[in-house]
Amino acid sequence: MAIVLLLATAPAWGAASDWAVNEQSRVRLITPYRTAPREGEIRLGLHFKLAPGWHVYWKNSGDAGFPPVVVFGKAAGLDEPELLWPAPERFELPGDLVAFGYEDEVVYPVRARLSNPPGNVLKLSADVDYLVCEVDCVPYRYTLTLDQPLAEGASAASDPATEPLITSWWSRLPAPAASLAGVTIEGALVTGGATGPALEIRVQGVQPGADTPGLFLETHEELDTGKPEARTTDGGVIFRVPLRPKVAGRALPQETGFAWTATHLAHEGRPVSLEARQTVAPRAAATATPAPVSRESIVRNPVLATVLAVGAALLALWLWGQLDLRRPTEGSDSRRPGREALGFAAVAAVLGLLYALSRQISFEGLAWVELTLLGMSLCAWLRRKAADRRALRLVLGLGLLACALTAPWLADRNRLHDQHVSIEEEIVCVAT
Amino acid sequence: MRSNLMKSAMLLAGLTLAALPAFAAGAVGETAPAFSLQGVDGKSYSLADYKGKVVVLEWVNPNCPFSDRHAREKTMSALNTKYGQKQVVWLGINSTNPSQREFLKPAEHLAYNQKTGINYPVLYDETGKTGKAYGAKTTPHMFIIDPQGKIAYNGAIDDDPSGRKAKAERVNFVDGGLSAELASKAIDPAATKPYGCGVKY
Repeated sequence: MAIVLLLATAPAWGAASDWAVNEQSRVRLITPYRTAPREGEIRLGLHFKLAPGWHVYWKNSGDAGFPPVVVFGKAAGLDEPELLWPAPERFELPGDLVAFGYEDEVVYPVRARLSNPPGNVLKLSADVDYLVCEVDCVPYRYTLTLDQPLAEGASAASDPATEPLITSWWSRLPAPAASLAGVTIEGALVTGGATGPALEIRVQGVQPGADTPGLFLETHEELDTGKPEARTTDGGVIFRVPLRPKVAGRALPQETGFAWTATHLAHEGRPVSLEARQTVAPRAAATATPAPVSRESIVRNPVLATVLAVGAALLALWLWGQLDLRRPTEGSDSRRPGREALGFAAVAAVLGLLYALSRQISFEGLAWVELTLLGMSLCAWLRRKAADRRALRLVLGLGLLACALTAPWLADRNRLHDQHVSIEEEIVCVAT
Repeated sequence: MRSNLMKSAMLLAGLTLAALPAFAAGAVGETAPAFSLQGVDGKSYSLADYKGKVVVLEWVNPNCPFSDRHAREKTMSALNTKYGQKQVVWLGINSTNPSQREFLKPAEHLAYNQKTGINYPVLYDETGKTGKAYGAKTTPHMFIIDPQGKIAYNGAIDDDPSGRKAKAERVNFVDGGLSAELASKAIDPAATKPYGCGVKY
């Protein structure tokens, strides 16, 4: 059941407030200073330690929960502090729900500015509302206070216990994508493709890190976002995120902003997370699929891939006894043990070739090719059933042949390759 | 023949799998998924029974601090009283899986409803089928269904996840949505991000 605590402790002296402790978590306010500088930017931190299995949230909490809300008390000479968000992790919850946040331990870095406050002590206080969840969730509210001694002059003395902690978590803040040498980003709203509308973000100049690259989007007002997929290319990583307008039937916006954090990347051999705020515009459906003729495609030519798919489908039909070149005689059965199993292998080849094809032709084109394959199968099946009707067998045979010949033509008409080069130049992307 | 049909069906299913939708239903403007569920009071409730009325669906879990806070503050009960006389039907739905420790048996649920003054039916969705059909993610998660059976609002009850604001300072999206719906105006915002505990499917 809910337990909401309101705790105001006596101010602690030094670089850390007292811990506010509960069954699931503990939290305190920390600074990296034994004595803090009187002028310029200062660093603070909101330090959580969490019981095993429990987590607190990133700025977009995911499907449930909410991120910590921190309101700092006013102190003379202290500008409004800003809470920052280290690279998060993704948690899968029952019911296909997801949460974004941190488990075990996290320090939310806080950036602030000091302009010569009066006296020798900076009186810091923070009202903290946060939610800690496992499967169950418990909200807490605390007031954390800390009397931070100030240095006499501009020089500061660091605290040996808290300074490394804050420095370590500061390094886990995502770097602005534009700040890294050789890193470029491109983005587009893809208005078609096999899985419907999607946001596509290409990050060039990075490599995947130790874990699978992850993408975390801030909440968008008009669009629901699905589970991102990451794909590695020669020069970087491509993220693709399914989109759905929150109001059914509404078109994708002509231009809209997305803020994102990409995690588990590597840049010049070091692990890195990136963040950016991009304005993206729709791109035509036919250009939806990234890198349409890439090295990872099994067959690079869509016409050849379709011819092979048709051939594999015909082979499967023959192996399954559905395609006889001669008129079947009474009681004959061309099926033999082992032969049917080979038919399934041929179908697997068809599926593999269709996958390769999906990278090279539009979704609509792929659907037409699949229909022709089904048409072939239907003709073969009916033709076998019409064993005694020679004319009908001839017509169905011609239908089968027509389907087989139409498929490569459809693939050629719907290929992406020729359009892709020009579309590359149409990507609208502004990184800030 | 039967095995051939099976093979064809398998081939077709394989080709279709690639085009599965990435989202649950429940978007504003879509037809509200039908349901027929048993209430904690033992009665049966169907969405079809309320055709032509405005229906509010509230995903609840008495053991979720957010759901419980709104129950104790009578956020929903007060709105049901306000709009109940105006052809608005309010239904709570509890999609907590019986295997979860937060699941409440009917007697416990009824006692909780009585204690907190919940003045509308609460229905069990033990399989989670209805919750998933709507894409219900949190407790509370609110939906307004218009008299034509379309989803007109999907999202949070208000703009105050932490409950820090005074009640009068909160923007209650469902209150605003019902006012707009009853005045035949477009609900704005029609979709917000719901907050709270995850539904315990």
